[in-house]
Amino acid sequence: MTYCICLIQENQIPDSSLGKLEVGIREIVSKNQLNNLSDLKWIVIPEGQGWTAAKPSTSSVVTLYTPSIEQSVRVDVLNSICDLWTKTTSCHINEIIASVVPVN
Amino acid sequence: MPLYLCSSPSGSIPQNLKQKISQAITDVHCNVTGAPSTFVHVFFFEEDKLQVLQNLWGGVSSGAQYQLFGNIRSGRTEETKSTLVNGMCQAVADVLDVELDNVAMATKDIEAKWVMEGGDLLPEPGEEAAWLERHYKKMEALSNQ
Repeated sequence: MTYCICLIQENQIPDSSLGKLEVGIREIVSKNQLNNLSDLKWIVIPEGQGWTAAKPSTSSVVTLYTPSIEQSVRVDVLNSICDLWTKTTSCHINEIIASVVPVN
Repeated sequence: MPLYLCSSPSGSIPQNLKQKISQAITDVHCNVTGAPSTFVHVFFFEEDKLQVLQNLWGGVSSGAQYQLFGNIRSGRTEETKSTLVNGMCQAVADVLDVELDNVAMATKDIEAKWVMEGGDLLPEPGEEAAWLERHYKKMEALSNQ
């Protein structure tokens, strides 16, 4: 089973981009043969609730849970998520934290 | 990474204290681990969001009013983790001016090689300085393009 949780800061990503990001994540999952993406949850951190280095956070945290995969595949997936985020949202590369975690 | 999630009853933490709590958590993390503050993320949630966060929230087996959960890089010793937990619970209790037993905390280890931040896989604990040097050079090169 593969699923994804995306924590994003309120007002950081336009609603119009969320659909593109979801399509992009589904494509990354499919391209890397990580099974079907069964669920993708968006969790919006309200303004004033997210902090990075004790300053208001502009970071997105994307966690993709996948079956066990080779590290080389994981790195490809992580790079793809970071590329997707920076190209779709115009965020800085430092504003996307991606993780690919094996499902227990 | 680390990502610290803070859960509390709705409306129980005044907004002006959230920055202080995030600073306290960041300070404890950096002082104990030597990691740079730019790695430290602190997100606040009210308790009704915990169900949604079930997969990120490893759970704190406590009925404490204020709960912290840290996704931290693996490789820390049990002693270090204990120092983190005790230090953060005390720091949060101090900011909120509540008894220590109102604050509980748990941590979950995440492999550094599972996480990418700033476009690079995270360093193993203790290798942050070299990682940051490489990262800053990369950022500088990117900004000069």
